[in-house]
Amino acid sequence: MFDLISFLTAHFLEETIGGGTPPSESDTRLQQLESLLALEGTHTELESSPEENRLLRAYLNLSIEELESLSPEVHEWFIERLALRVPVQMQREPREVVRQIGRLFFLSERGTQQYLVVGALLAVDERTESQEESSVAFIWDHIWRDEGLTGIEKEGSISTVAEILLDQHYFCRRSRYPIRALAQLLRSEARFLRDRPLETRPASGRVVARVHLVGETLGSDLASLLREI
Amino acid sequence: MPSRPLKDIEDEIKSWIRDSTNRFRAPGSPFVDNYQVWVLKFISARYLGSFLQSKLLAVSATPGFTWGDGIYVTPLCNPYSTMMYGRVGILGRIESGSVNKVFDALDDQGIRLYQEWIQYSTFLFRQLTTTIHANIANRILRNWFRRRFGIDLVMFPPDQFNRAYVDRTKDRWFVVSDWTNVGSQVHGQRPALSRVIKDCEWVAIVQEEFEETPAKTHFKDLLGPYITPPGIVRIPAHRPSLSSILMQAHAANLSGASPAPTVVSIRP
Repeated sequence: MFDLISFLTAHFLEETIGGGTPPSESDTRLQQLESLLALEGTHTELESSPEENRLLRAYLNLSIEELESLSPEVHEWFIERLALRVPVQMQREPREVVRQIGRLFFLSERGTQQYLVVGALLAVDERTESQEESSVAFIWDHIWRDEGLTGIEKEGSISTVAEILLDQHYFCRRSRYPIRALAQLLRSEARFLRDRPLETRPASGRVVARVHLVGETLGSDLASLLREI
Repeated sequence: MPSRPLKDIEDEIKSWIRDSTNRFRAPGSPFVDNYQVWVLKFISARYLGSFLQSKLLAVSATPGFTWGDGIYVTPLCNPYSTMMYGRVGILGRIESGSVNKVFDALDDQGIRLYQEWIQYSTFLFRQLTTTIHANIANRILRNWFRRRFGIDLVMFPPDQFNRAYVDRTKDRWFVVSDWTNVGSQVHGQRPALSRVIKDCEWVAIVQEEFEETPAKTHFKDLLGPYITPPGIVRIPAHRPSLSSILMQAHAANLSGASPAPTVVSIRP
């Protein structure tokens, strides 16, 4: 659970971001918080201060029940923070960090939160220079294995993940992390839905649609992913 | 629904950025003075103390800002335009060599290109157009747009108004980018202090009181109408322009010649 300082910070965020506060007022309050969290004498640096590390570590150690008690705005602030920072914990227990961030995808139906979760997991891959399985796999593995979801629900969630990865791919074209995650998602989809034609599978269908939308050729990076399956 | 390949739109955006930048930096531009872009920001007096400790301006990173995360300022040639945001005026400079890519969001063409581009990001475009989380989706899309094309500065028209101090047809507002240490997978920045705008000095106190309207589109000036006729802000003819006065105050403060800062009182 949160320590006192983390609890007060979450409460401050709740009031500042989610309480109908005008953007200009929210902005200056968040800048005040930033000045308390930043390493003294630095700005926009990679390394976290002890205060920020404590705050992020406390968040990463919250139970599901405790996470559910926080508002989406607070979650989105923490997710963005985790995407920008490498908490010390990440270096020791990367899987635990991925697990906690990944759980937030399922905590909310809010599309913007789901988008930020996928972005944060890709950022983890980038910060840790991951060469293996994408951290986003945590999400689709859980979707495929969740026996409480209907087939339609699974396909809806997989479509969401694919669409977010596609948006991310086009935003940061030089990065390999979104397209690597997409390739792995398509392969996992091929395993779970092997009897379905390609164009009817949720993720593959999204890739096909996006290739057509952006007007790419069959030789594009994305189109080639479909040939590899 | 987009009607042409994304590559065509992106090529056109890059061309627009080149044109925008050339116009911004052209000889005779009102924005560039001897290779410097002088910019003003008005902040609440409550934060003057913390500003004076660092003399740096902070990135705004909150949903609801016009063009996403960045430092929101006005060019010195529009000194009154954003006074309603605070009593304390800060003047700083950006080296024009740091402004390599400008996006003109005043012209219909720039706006149209942005509106076309975002439609290809189907997930976020859907969040923007069909949910109540449009502010968040807006912030993300505008950040990615500026990051995708490496835009250093977006120039846009005022989108909050005041009858006396904001000229909606002539005034220009800027957002200046600072993506220092933001990874490639992250759309936005922290609300941290930025070093992009240099030599920031406190130069002005605003002697006007503003009240934001409930609709949040306008700020009413409460003192001006009782001193000058509505809609008119007079600078006595024998005085130098406000911009010159602010520059003099800046030079005095930067030199540190006086222990107390030189501050211009901006009156209606």
